[in-house]
Amino acid sequence: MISQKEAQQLLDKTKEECKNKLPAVIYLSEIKPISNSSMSLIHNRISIDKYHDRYALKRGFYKPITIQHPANE
Amino acid sequence: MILILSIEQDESTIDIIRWLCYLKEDFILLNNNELINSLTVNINTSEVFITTKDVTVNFNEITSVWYRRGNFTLYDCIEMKDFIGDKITEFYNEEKKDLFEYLHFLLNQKPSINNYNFKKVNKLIVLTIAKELGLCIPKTTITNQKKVLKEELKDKLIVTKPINDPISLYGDTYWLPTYTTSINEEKADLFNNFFGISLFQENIKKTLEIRSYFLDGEFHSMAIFSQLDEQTKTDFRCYNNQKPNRTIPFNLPSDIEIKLKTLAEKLNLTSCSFDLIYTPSKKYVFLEVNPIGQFGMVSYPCNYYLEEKIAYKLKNYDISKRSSTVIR
Repeated sequence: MISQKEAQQLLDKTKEECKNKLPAVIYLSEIKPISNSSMSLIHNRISIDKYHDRYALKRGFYKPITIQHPANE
Repeated sequence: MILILSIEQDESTIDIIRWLCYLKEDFILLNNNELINSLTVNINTSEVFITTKDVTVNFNEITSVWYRRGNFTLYDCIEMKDFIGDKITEFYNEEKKDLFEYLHFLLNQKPSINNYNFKKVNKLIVLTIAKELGLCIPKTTITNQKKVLKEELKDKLIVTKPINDPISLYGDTYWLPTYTTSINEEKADLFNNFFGISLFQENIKKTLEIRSYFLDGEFHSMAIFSQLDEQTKTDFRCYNNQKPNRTIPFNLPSDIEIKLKTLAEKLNLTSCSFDLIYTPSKKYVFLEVNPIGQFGMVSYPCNYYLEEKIAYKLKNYDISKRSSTVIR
């Protein structure tokens, strides 16, 4: 993962080199800092730690009945 | 048996699973990171068996389906990077694409909430259908010419936004937001005479924004007071965590609901989120539809208990099927 500064430099370089080709929404965009809470709102996804705690480790509990595959009959 | 297709870490999926557990309903959750080890399809009998490390899914035992996100993923992915390998990889990916499309087609024959095959909508086609249905839409222009952009700016404020989905670029502590961006003369002057194809839309003044979650014929709408916050006034998704926008339950007028329902039907969507603006001149302006739709952000602030409603729908589909009642 590159730093925010490096990401911004890469974006600026792309804007300079491809000015005639970039859509307006990309040309006007800027790399911005983001908090974990904002990230969670955007993705609707919880952190992997929280996910493992709330769901993945309890998978045995959630797991439904086993369905028999004909090949095993 | 209820089948849920989703992705790992999706909070709404977890919430619905908790309701299904409470209702003592059997279900299978297939996340897209669960690799399919074996797969057998019998076209003549429509029998499908999918086996992953943890579960075996028999399509004939599936009574209802909730397509949330993601797709099937086969274990045997080929990644060859040479003159021959490239073509074989491309060929095999297309084979799988058609097979998965067929599997989703089969699942769509069952009572279901959404389907992978209809999850992608074209914003431009949607706007055109919405207009034909009598919904008010913003003046929208697509161009790659500065002179057209300048012309548009003469009599109104405009915004630009992606034709497709926003770019997905996230670092550990940063991101590249490409949601709706306002454009003025000063910003327009930054462009050369030609630029990449871009969508420009009239920046409509709003009294409030509306996110309406549509579920099987019913609307659950939320008003978002985003206009008075500089950070959220162009796009409420630029969330202000320090001072969040006020959000309250809202009822859309029935004529708007009827038009939106027809739009959902035309797009084969049983559940989706509609974005609208209510203007100071008391007009409802349709912006876009999101077929996957984040309903948690409507459900919790408005106490709609949408997760419970979805779980009950899946359960009732399941019961109806068990008692041999044909749904749809």
